[in-house]
Formats: sequence, structure tokens, C-alpha cells
Amino acid sequence: MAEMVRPPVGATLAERWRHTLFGDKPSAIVSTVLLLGIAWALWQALRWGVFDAVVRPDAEACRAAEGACWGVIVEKARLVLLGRFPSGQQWRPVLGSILLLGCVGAAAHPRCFGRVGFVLMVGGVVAFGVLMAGGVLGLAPVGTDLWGGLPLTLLLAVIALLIGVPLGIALALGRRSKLPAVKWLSTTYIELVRGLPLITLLFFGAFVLPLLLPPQWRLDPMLRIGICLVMFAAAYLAEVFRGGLQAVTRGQYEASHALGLNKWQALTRVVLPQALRITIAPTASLFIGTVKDTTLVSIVNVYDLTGTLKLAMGDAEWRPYSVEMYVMVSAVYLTIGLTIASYGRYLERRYALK
Amino acid sequence: MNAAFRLAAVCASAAAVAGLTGPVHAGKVVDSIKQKGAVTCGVHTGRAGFALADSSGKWSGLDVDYCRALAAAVLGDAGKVKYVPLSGPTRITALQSGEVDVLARNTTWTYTRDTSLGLVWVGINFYDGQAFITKKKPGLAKVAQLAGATICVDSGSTTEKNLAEYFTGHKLQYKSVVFDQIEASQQAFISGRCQVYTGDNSNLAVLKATLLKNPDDYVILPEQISKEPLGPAIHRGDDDWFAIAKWTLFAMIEAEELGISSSNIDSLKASSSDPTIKRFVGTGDDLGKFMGLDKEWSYRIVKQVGNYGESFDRNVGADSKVKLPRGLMNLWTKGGLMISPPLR
Amino acid sequence: MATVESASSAALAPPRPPLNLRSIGLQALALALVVALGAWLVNNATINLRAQNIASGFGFLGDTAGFAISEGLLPYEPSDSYARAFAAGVANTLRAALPAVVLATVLGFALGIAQTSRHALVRLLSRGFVDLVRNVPLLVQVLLWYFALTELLPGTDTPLRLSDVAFLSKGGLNIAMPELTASQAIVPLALTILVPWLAWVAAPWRRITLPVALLVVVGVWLLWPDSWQHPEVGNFGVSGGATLTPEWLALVIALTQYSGAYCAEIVRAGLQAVPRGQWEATHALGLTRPQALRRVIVPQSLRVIVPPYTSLVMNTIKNSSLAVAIGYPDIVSAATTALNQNGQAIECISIIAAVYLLLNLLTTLVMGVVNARVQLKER
Repeated sequence: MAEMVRPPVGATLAERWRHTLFGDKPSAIVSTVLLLGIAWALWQALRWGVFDAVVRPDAEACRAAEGACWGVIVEKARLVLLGRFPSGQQWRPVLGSILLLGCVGAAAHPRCFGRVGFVLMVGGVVAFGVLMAGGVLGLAPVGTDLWGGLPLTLLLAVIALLIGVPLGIALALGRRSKLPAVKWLSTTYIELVRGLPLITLLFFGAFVLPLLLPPQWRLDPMLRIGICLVMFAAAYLAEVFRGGLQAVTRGQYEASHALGLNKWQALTRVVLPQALRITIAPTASLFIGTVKDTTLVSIVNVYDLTGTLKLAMGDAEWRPYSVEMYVMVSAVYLTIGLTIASYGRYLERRYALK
Repeated sequence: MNAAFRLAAVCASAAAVAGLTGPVHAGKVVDSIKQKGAVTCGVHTGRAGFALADSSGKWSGLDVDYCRALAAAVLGDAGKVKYVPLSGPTRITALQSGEVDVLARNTTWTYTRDTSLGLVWVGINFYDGQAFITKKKPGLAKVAQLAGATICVDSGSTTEKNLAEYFTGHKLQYKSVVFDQIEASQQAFISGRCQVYTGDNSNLAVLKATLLKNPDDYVILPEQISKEPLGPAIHRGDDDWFAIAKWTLFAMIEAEELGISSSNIDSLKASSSDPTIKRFVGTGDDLGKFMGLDKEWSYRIVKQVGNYGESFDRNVGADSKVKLPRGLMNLWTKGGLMISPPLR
Repeated sequence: MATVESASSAALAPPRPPLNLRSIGLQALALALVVALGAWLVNNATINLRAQNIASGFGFLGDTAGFAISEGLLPYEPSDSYARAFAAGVANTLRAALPAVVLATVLGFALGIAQTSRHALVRLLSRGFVDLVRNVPLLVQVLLWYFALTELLPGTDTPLRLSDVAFLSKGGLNIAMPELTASQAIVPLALTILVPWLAWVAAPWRRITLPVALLVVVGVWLLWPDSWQHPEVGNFGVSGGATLTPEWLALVIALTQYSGAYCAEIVRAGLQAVPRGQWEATHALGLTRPQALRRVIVPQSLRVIVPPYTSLVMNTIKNSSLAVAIGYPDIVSAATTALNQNGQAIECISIIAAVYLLLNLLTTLVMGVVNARVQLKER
């Protein structure tokens, strides 16, 4: 009897890599060049960032050294992360952010989707607001102009999405409505807001909104900014949700009617869950986009993380080392973005149709 | 069926909220201040000598002292002030919309601002002028020699317009880089993006004294291309508030002229027999009642804040980092321009 | 006879549906609410404007602007009108946004194609770059580039020089420019249009004629002008020649890298949407990878790429409004300066909004034509 021919054994990891990178001549050349370049870049980065770097918050030492001045982060981290909050009360934004992140994290767990999650989020935002604003429970009142830094970025992003998502769903439904007036109103709003840069909306909120409201409604500037961010996020979310709603086939509506569900029940129990599942990926990228959009409020003199960064860089002594500060702030935003992106991928995997 | 009712319910509640506008009453600023318990004062976001908050949140400066004087006069306590930092572009709209009761923010008193924006100036607390700061070069002394330079300037102020008018009027070429935020334009100058920075002389003095690494390498050209009388402004239309704001400033100037300061006011109150001083410290005729205040309004201003000279010296004068000379800000009896109509 | 026919045709016609009073009533209510809201806002605005003594209307457009716009293609003096200032602002917006779009497209295609490479390192590097750039806010990138350009470049008195053709300093990039009047420029312009067109028309030899045409055009522009304006270091830094300011450079570089990363994602999605069978067919036909990409894969992927690319172009144009953060004088900057000077917030903000909506409309129209051209031609 002939020997049974065994299937070829898969190459080890090292062999696979070697084949990929150095399999044929062009690949080998490209690989060599790239690997040398990466090695050089890594060496320079290590030299700048680790070996020659100064960690002490000592401007003299930083000037003398050739490498990075991580001391600037030690010196300015409080100002950049917490803004101009009065120094004795800075435990309040820290505690507030932890609470808010905790509530958002808890609400993000699929077990808490629905009413529990909504209550958690609202509770987190309210607790954060109370801690920051003070005035009750024996906390000293702190005006909104002193709020700043990372807590403010988180608050603005969470509020923009918390109100923007339901508003976006409403607008998407309105745009798909059969009533011509409602459809026309929703479409006009969505196209108008999507056609404008966010800066225009923020300037509108800062300069025009006070003129359009009665003089005794003196809206806090932070509230005006928040309204503009919500309006902006809702328009973009509406388009994404509309795409999701379009992808749900008519058969689903008809089946739910056949089962005796009325329009509202069909929408909330059958159609919307399917639509939202389809749009997880674009929604996640819109969430990341909203967090990035909060940086624009620094242009209208609200000191979010980017605004406090510019404030910290105003110090002439530490200004030459701004690159290190920018690296730190970029790292914060990167972390937030990658967290949301991986959460989106987790949701996609979890709710994927088998 | 359900959806229709829900829609109608939402619409009805929206209408109810919209209808809750209430009557538009002519806001009396003094009443609202007494109700709030604090004077809302629009100040600079951070300019040493005029309005700057330290790391614990305590404000100090020439304009801050004026706000405190208002609070001392109206509410009795100089600490009852809410400070609203305003940038150049937003300061006028903040006052117009009523977000602040008074704008004490290095704002130049000009004809158009006084007549076309719905504001009115209460007086002048600093005589300034627009000047230029640049790196020292041998032989560089006049503004005309700055032709061809790149000049950093802040947006939203008279500075930009003055610069354009002066340079085009004298047929001088220049390139300007305009920033929304003062920190950004100052940073651009410090980093070397522009060779020249222009602004009010006091602003340049503060910049030179506090922000430059090597102040001696720079020179503020002595030539000033405009007059910039800076003073507090309020919303037009409230005569009572106008009287109080105006006379608060005058009281500080009058106190210096009468020789009353925060250190000797108590002893003067106890021992002086001069009727002018007695009126001022509250033991003589009651002057405050004409403005709706009590008779010790001027006493409190000087006791809690000080007279104009004290405020000037500790913020921008001899006792400060900036060390500006009194110059035009001295009393009229000493060659300056500060004069108050008599308090009688 | 006739009555029977009419009776039967009447019986066959479907009945008209009754008017849905409920939906009409609801719509009327919704519209009435919106109109009421609008009227309330306008009423408030009128009261506020009158109380604050602010003028209304667009009459201010004829007044003298009084502020300077220091760079741009449109010649502008501070003594010109507000209308001209806004026009200069719009020109500056386009001057930053359009080069960014072009460069971002090139970068995006390069990165997108790199992500489908066989080479693992190339894929990894381009993926890493795209992920990094997409997750950092654009404003932070703009500020970082502006900081790098204004702090790390040499001072304006000691620029980096490339003989006397190009000077790089904190004041920007100054490049020697030919000095040509309008009449002198006619011949080079005509040749720039004519020569490439001729090269394109000569289809069989396009491979040779197009590079030659490019060389001819470049040669004409280099050799035709008699006099060149060279930048030189004067009393106050480098002057002369065409200047690309650090503001423009920072904005365009940051926009290019940001939009390029997004474009890379779009191109990658488009390339992956092309069925695998197409790649295999190109291998069967013996096409090299560049040939396969150019002639088979990319043209088919354009169908999937163009719609999201349209919104990318619009987003790039809108993102150019970040110019106001670094002092680049685009339309937002010009309008907010005007707003500060005359207090007419509503008019100035509506001008900004109108400009961007108009640019959006133009982009949609142009890309609509492009989209139609890349559709599958089904017979």
C-alpha cells in the first residue's frame, strides 16, 4: 500500500514572516529599506524621548538637555488636565470625571442597554454637573467660565451624544416620514446643519443666539456651546440612522403589523434595534468625531483640553517644549478614540448575525 | 393613533414653553445687582495690571479695583463681584446682551462705540495710546522705519483699524498677521513669526515686563500712533446705574485729590472737621441718597479698595512689576489729566 | 351602448382615497409651530437690535473695511469695502482648501493602495499612520504644525536658502516669481493649454508625448520671463517673491494629512469592494500589479469611492475654517472681524453660512457629474 501523503506542515511564524518580507527580490529591497528606516526612527525617538530626556520640572535643566523635556508635563499637567478650576476644589472635577466615566462605562455594557443605561447616563451627567457647579450640598459655587480641561471635554462630548442620539433618531424618522411637511422640515434642518462648519455654528451660538432670545434669558455661554454641539451631532447622527432605517426591509414593518404591533411598538421593538445594529460602525466613528469636535470650542474661549493646552503654552519659560505637551494631549485623544473604536468592534461582534 | 397623540403632546408642550417668555420689563441694573447680590463685571481674560486671576482664583488689577469699588458702593462689600473674563471679540456683545453689568476691560472710548453700539462710557481710568514693540536695532526709533515688517495684531479692537489707517495713510507697506486671541498673537511675536507687535502701550509694557525671556533685547518705540482713552462702559438707557458707575470712578479720583487714602480714612473720619472730607467719609451731608445709596458709599470705596493713586501704584505703577509712570494718569494738580467734578 | 360602456368604465376606475384629515391637521400644526417659533425669534431679534442700537441689513457691505488681509490672490487694501474683504476671504478659503483636496487625494490613493499591498510592513505602516492621524483632532494637528513652523524654523533674518530661488524661515516659504504683465503672460498661458492638449490628442504616442509636453511647459515658464522677482533678506526679514506663509503651510499640511488619512480609508474600502475574481483574472492575463491596479481594479473601485469622497471634499472645505485658530485670513476670519467692528452678528454669520452652503452645492454638482461618469454602464 502507498504511503498516505500527509498535508504539508504549516511554516512556523518566523518562516512565514521571512517569506513575506524577503520572499522575492523587490520585497526584500523594500523590507530592508523600511526596516532600516524604522530602526533609525525608533533610535532617534528613544534618544530624544528617553535617554536624553529630562523628567524633572526644571526649566534650566531642560534648556541644557538635548532631549525631550517631560518635566513640562509634570509642571503643567494640572493646568492642562483640570483647567482653571480653583486649586482647593480640584478634587471635584476629578471625582466628577471618574463618576461620569463609570456611569458611561456601566451604561455601555449590553446588559444595561435600555432604560437602566439611560438613567445611569443621566445620573452621571447630573452628578458631574452638581460637583462642578457647586452651590448645593455645601460645595462652593464655581462659575462655568472656570470649568476646563479633560472633565469639560468629557462633559461636552457626553451631553452632545446623550441628547444628540435621540434627536438624531427623531430627525431620521422625520426625514423618512410620509407627511410632507415633517419630511421637508427635517430635511432642511439636516442639510443646513451638515452644510456648515462647526465653527460657524459655534459663532452663531456665541454671537447670534443672544440676539435671538429675549434679553432676560441670559443663557450661560457653556449652555449655548452645548446647544450648538448637540445640534451639530444630531444632524450627522440623523443621516447615519437614516441609512440604517433604509436598510431594514419593508417585510419587517409588515410582519410587525401582522403581529398586531402598532407603529410605535414596531419602531421601538423591531425596526430600530435592527437599524442600530447595522449602523454600529459609522455611529462609533461619529462618536469619535464628536469627541474631536469638542476641541473647536477652544476657539470661542471655552477652555477644554485644547484650550488649556494653549493657555499652558502661554508661559514663556515652558513654551519651547510645547511638542511634549502636544504629544501628551494627542495621547489622551488617541486613547479615547481607540477605546471607542474597540468598543464599537466589540458591539459589532456581539450583535453580528450568525 | 398613539403616534399622532404623542406628536400633538410634544408640540403642545413646546408651545407652552415658548409662550413662557413673560413680560419684557426694562431691567433696572441696580435692582438686579441687589437681587443677585453681586456686581457682574466683564474683565480681561488675563492682563497683568488690569485684570488677572492668580492660581487660587483671586482677581487683581486696575479694572478689578473699579469693579470692587462698585460693589463696595452698591452692596457694601468689595468682595461681592462676579468676574466674567471676556475676549476682544466677545466683550461688546456681552455688554450689549446684558450678560455683564459693566465692562471694565481696557475698552477704548470712541465716538462710534459710544453712539452706535448701545453703550455709554462712564469715564476714563487709563490714558493709553497705540505703540509698537520690536527687537532693538541700531537707529530704529520711529514708526515710519517699520515699513515692510510683519506685524502681529489682535482682532476685535481699535488696534487693527488704527494700524491700517496709519500705515496706508503714510504709504508704508506692511504685512499683518491677525489672531482672534491675544495669547496667540503675543506668542507669534515672541516666537519670531512677526517682527513687530502692536497694541496699547500698557499692554506692551506688561508684555515686556512679564512675558519676554530677554526684555532688554526689545524696545517699545516711543511714538504712539493713536490716543486710546480706556474706561469702563455700561449699557445705555439706565440713568441710575450710569450715575453710580460714573461717580464711583470720580470718587476714587477725588479721594486722592483730597488726600484721603485707605490708610488714613478712619483717622480722618474720627478727627477731620473739613466739610468736604466729612461729606466724603460719611459724617457730613448725605450725598449718597441722590443715587439711591447710603451716606457711606464713598467711605466704603476708599476704605475697602483705596483711592485712584493707590490702585494705580499697586497694579501698574511703582509697586507693581510693570512700573509705568503716572504720566497722564496723575492728578490735574500734578500735571496729569485725572480730575473729578467736586463732590458737593 | 354608450351608457353600458360608461357605466362599466366608471365601475372599473379605482375610488379616490378620502382626505387624511389627521395627517393634514398634524402637518398644519407642525408648520404653524415652526412659523410661530420663527416669528418669535425675529421679534426678539428686532427688540434686541433696536435696544442695542445696532444697524440692520446688508448696507454695511459698501463701507470701508479698515482691516488688512495680508495674503491672498485677490488684491485688497484696508481702504476697500467690506464686500471686497469678504471676496478676498472666500478666495483665501479656496486657496487653502483646494490644494489640500488635491494633495489629500494623492496621499489617500497612495496610502489606500499601500494597504492592499502584499508586503506586510507596508500595510502595517500605512495602517498605523491612518489610525494615528484619524484619531487626533484636526485642531490639535493644525496647532502642532503651526507651532513647529513658527518655533523650529530659522528666524526671519537668517533663513534657509536654496541659492536665491527659495527661502525658508519663520516668515514662510518665499519662492522666486517671474515678473510678467498680463500681456506678456498670454504666450506662456496659451502654450500651457495647447501643448498638453496636443499631446493628449496624439493618443497612440501618449506615453511619450505627455512627459515631453510637461517638460516643454515647465521650460516655457522658466525661460520666457525676462525678469524674476527674487526674495531677499531685508530690514524686517525676507521679502519679495511669492510667499507661502506659515499659516497657509500649517493649514494645508494638516488638512492634507488629515483628509489624506480619511481618503485612504475610502480608497481601501473601494479597492476591497472589487470582487476577488478581478484580481485573479488580471493574474491569469499576466498583468503586473501596477497594470492591474491602473487598468482594472481602480476604475471599478471608483464607483464605490466617489460618494464618500464627495463628503470628504466637502468636509475638507469646511475644515479649512479652522484657519481662524492660527490667523489665516479666510472668510470666517474676515467675517468675524467685520462682526466685531460693526456688531452686525446676524448678517455676518449668514454670509459665512451662505458661502459654505454655496461651496457645498458646487461640490455636489461637480461630484455628481463625476459620479455619473464612473457608474457601471449597463446595457
